[in-house]
Amino acid sequence: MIQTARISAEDKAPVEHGLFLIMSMISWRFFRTIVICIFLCAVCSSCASVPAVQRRLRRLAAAGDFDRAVEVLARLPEGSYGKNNQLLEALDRGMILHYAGWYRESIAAFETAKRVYDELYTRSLSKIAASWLWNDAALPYPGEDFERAMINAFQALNFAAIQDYNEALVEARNVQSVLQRINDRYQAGQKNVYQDDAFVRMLTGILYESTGQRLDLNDAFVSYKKAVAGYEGHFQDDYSLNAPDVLLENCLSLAGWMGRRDLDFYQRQFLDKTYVSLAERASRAEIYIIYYHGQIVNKVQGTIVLPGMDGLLTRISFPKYRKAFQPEREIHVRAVSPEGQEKEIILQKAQDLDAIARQNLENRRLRILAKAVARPLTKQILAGAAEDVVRDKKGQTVGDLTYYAANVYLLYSEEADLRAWETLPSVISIGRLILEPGAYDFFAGKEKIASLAVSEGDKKFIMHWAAY
Amino acid sequence: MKNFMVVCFIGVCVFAVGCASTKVERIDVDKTVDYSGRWNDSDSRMTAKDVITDCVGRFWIKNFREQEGRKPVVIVGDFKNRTEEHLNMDVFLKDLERALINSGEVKFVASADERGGLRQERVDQNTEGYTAPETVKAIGQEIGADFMLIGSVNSIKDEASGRYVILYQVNTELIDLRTNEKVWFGQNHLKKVVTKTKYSL
Repeated sequence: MIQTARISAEDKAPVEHGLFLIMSMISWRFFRTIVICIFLCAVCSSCASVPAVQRRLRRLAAAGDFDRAVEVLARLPEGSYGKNNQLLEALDRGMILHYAGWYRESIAAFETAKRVYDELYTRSLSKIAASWLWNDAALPYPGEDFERAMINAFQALNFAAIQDYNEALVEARNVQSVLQRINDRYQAGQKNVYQDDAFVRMLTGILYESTGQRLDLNDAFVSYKKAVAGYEGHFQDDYSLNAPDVLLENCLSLAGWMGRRDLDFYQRQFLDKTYVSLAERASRAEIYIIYYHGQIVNKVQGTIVLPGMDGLLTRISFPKYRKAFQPEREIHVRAVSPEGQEKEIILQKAQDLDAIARQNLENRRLRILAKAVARPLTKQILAGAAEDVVRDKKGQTVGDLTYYAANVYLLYSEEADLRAWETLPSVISIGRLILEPGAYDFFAGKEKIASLAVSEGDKKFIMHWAAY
Repeated sequence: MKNFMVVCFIGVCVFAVGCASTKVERIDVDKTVDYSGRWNDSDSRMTAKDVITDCVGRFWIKNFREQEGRKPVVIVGDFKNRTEEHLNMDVFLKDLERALINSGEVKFVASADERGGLRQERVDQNTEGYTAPETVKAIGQEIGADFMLIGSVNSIKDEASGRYVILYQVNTELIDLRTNEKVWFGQNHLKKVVTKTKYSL
């Protein structure tokens, strides 16, 4: 910004006085240089790393005030998150609408998210260049691998909630392609990477089972086997998650349907766990409880300010996850019939999105740090060259001003990319009730979470969010 | 001055890339346009036409006419989507129905979903005091279908490094409603190769 100030003859200061310097430098060429710098910064920046509106939605979601969050969403015009955050906007819309029970609207939002995610496969070279001149906010938010898989999971639950199991199965099939694409990026047996999602596989298996058709039961068994392998492998190693009982029981009942050999194999593997046969389950109703806990941990910025070349200050910024506390709490869910009969289960942790997000960032840490170091270096070289040119052409004083402007640019522009799908839950727990046909009220602790009438062969889902 | 012009030119290019404008172009309905590689209106129309052309050209129609002395009555039943995309099956079913009627070889009756509304209308008409008696359509005059057309759309996808090939397989069956005999089986394939570029300007 250029400021002018009137001075009197008595106040006239030596040439080095700041105000006189500013006045003497207001020439067309200097003005042009400032305009160009501001122009380039504006073009490169697009918008802040984390949109302000997302913070507001996150606060409402954290308080469980989904109705209010839906109202805020309804008033938000499309594109409120900014051109580079279209995916984030679609994800947050889809998630909040899902939590609020607006399943059809959530379906539309998640379909948009899938479309944007696919379009972002093609990366813009001009935006990549801009990110080297400014920061990663100049790039469209591409989404994490685990976020892409979770889109299918929530979308499948949306369709299941409106009892469109055919379309829920489309999600189940699509996620297999998605997980295969993710898996293909890594070598077999590579540690500490998100290669597969055991929770999503388990959900896929449950949905395949819902049709009762032979072909789909085969697919359900394959999904359950992969889910078991996932929990016993990298989910246990990386996230300390065990396979939930409902997965082991369903795997056994499908193994029983497949034949003696499969059943014997899995009974030995699961140490003779008891299970309900497929035929018996088909004669009763199954209610799956999907319980969302809290909100996924959010990123904060880590910063190191260092002296760079030629005395220029520089800042290295990188994203990291703040420490978050996940209280361990047993969730008891009861189904109560009008006659007062009760059946109770304890939910089990099936998906730890906090742990997955942290692991995911840890895997990319070296790449992020490498860019976080290389980019300020690049900017320093450019700023140093610009300062030398200005100093040669305009003299010492203008050169000094350019030096200060370069410092501001180097310090201000280096911001870590803190964007993430922040409305995801922190943890997802699961449980299953097998009930006789009839009407039931469902309680999580003392809180009534649903009322359902169920018939023979029904498979229904109850989704519920709680702060913890 | 030259440097300034270069910077302005780059800035104009960046803005031009960022600027959005709406452009509308009307095209022929039968023109094939593919953007994403997913199942689209052209796929639906072409497949429906091929299915029905094959179906009505087979021996089952000739056999039926010789036995019954009339055109067969067909109804479209359930078509399952077994792909990994959300297909608009309504569009495909309507394309099938259109091709069936336009073939002139069969009679075609309303599906189960449509009958509910039609029956309600007849009940309304038969409720005394509202409809002119000579225009009332009697209940119990529906034509029963002789055959039901059912099927599924399946897909197989092979993908690597931004390229994928997808094969759509449309299976269609015509079933005799009296005997459950399958009198005709059709299978149509559609294959697409989609390449996504890794980088753009």
